[in-house]
Amino acid sequence: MLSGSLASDWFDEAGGAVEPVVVATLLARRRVAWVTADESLRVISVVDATGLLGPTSDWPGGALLEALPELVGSEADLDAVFAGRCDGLQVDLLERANSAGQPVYVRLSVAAGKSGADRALFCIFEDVTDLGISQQRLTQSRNELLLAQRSLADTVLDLQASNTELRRLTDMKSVFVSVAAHELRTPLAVISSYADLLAQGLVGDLNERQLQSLAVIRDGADRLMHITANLLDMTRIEAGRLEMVLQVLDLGVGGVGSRGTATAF
Amino acid sequence: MLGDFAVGKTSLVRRFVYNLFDDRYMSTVGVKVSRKPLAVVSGERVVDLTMILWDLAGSEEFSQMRGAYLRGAAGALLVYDLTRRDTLASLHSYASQLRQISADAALVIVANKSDLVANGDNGGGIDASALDGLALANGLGAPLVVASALTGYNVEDAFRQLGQRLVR
Repeated sequence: MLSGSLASDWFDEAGGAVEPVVVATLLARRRVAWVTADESLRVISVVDATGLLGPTSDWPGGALLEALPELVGSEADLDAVFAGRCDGLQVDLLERANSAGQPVYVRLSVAAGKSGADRALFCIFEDVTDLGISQQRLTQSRNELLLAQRSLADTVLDLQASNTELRRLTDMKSVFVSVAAHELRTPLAVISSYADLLAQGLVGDLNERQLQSLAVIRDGADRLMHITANLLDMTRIEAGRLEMVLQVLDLGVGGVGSRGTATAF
Repeated sequence: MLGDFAVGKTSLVRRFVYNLFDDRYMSTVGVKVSRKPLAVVSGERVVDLTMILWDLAGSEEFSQMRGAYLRGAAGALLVYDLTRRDTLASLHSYASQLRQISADAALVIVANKSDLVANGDNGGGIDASALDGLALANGLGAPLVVASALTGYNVEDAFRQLGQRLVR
């Protein structure tokens, strides 16, 4: 409940009495309804030409707080308004259902004044649905943006964690490849050496077919040696440790491309 | 109903009052008042209550308004989202704001969206965020209810616990 200056202030500023035609025009333009209640908070009457308040036929004679649960808990304030100890009460952007069951936003103001010969409490409802819908859209957009920002921040954190894990796995792979390449080179060197010894006839004479087979073994060992060299280069590149050896090369003299890309290294 | 935006305050009320759920998020602006009769057991008697539920906007821009709406409140469900821990931290300020206005207000902490956390969907499991909620609840002298407006899990229990504290 918000205490605030009510229409009486405006009437004073307007210079006293307000012509009925002004009131009628304003009420016709702005959908307004009101409920009148007595001191014991019994509903005296309901004026609601536009169905703003929903079904109200059983309200007159009943308890105001039963009709308007929004006022439950404000009994002391209502008493103060009725007694003139307080200007009035106001609740902004109250969401209710109209007589068609559609949601509407209303502003509820409570003031006390004369109703016929007796003093009464007036609960005045203004339809502020347009304002409420605009406010709702604005709030919705803002909240969705905030939720998206938080979701994005969570995604960034997840990505950072994934990157760290990926980097760790890449490092592990590089170490494995490097170790494997080094380990392969030793037996390959032995194979190559013994193939050379055999080819040179140092361990006995070989016939032509055996020499041809030996050449195939030697060729395969050379290719494996190139592959391991490439693997080691790859691990050096990943680790940023590859040293470039720049030298002049005569492209016109054999070599390059004679055994595919492997010999270019 | 108190808690940050998008924690599910409106969905809890909708589930409790109408037994409905809508998974589209619609921000609440201002306030919506609902009414729900509830019979609660207090000692050896059954008390018929009519709960008047004030569903307040959780967004920051309505914080000024909120204080005014809290006048006359007998109690509150303080709701947070189990998937957004920051919404739990905010409950301290909601609780103190309410207790400044109504020192004896009954409180129940609701850890909502249990369907979205591991071991939380209707199995009664409790995750780290719910444990933090339990710590807050103990500090405030309030019970913690892990609930889901989507499945309906423990929703009535949360309101019932509030009702029981109101009739003590």
